[in-house]
Amino acid sequence: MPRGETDLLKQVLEKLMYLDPPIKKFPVTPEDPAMAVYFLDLKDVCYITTKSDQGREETMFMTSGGKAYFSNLRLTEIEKRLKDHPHYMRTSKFYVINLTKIRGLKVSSARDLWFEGIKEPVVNAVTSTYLAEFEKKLQ
Amino acid sequence: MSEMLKRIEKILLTEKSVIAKDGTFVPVKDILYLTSKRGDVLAILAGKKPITLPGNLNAWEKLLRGLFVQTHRQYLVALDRIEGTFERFPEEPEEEKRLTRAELRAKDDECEISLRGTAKRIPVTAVYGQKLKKTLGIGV
Repeated sequence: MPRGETDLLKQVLEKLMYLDPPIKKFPVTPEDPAMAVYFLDLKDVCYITTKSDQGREETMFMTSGGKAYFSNLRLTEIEKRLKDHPHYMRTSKFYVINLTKIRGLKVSSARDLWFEGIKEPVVNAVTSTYLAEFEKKLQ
Repeated sequence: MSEMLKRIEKILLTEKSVIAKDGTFVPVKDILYLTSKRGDVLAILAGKKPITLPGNLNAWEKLLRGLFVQTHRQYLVALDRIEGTFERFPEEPEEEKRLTRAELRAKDDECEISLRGTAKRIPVTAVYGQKLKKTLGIGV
């Protein structure tokens, strides 16, 4: 197969990955104490953060319904697991975000983001280190 | 190229229907799980009566691979519907001391899972537990 066609096929495969991500669920701490593991749909998650919230220190998954789920894994470990997921990217020391859930953006030195179903923006969600990659992914 | 075809087939499969024994079309995305009962394969859908499908569970496992996963010799569940896991034998800790390492590991792989759309818990046996864990990204 000519080189040009191989590259084209690679691009098609990448596009397909966007429709059918390699990982669709993520194990988190369940609310039901009888349950051992709860599988959160990654398509419902807006962002993942290490910022402690609701009195908890674990990593938090915030969904578009405004509901929070928690994991004992560190953000770096979660980032590693989601590295092949086309919708997710690390955007700051504290955030891994779902690009498909962004509904608004405010340009300042960093980027504040609004997510689907969440009224309050996430301030400094994208910091300078990750800005170039973030803008590239948005195009 | 073959990887691409597999991916395309998987994406298209969610939009397809399977044909029941009585000729009705059942959308794949509506099926919670398949179970075999007295030689029949039943498709279980949320809030509807079970629908009998032709063939056996092994054939369906091959056909729906990637979207469904076998958890027990009698159960094939929709991956997208899996909600959570429960311990299968939560009240037997005393016995564990006498088990070998392999038996302990096998016991660890056994559990029950809940699915979105039904209150029924589906059993997961050790034979299929390890593969399911890998698919769901637990203990990786």
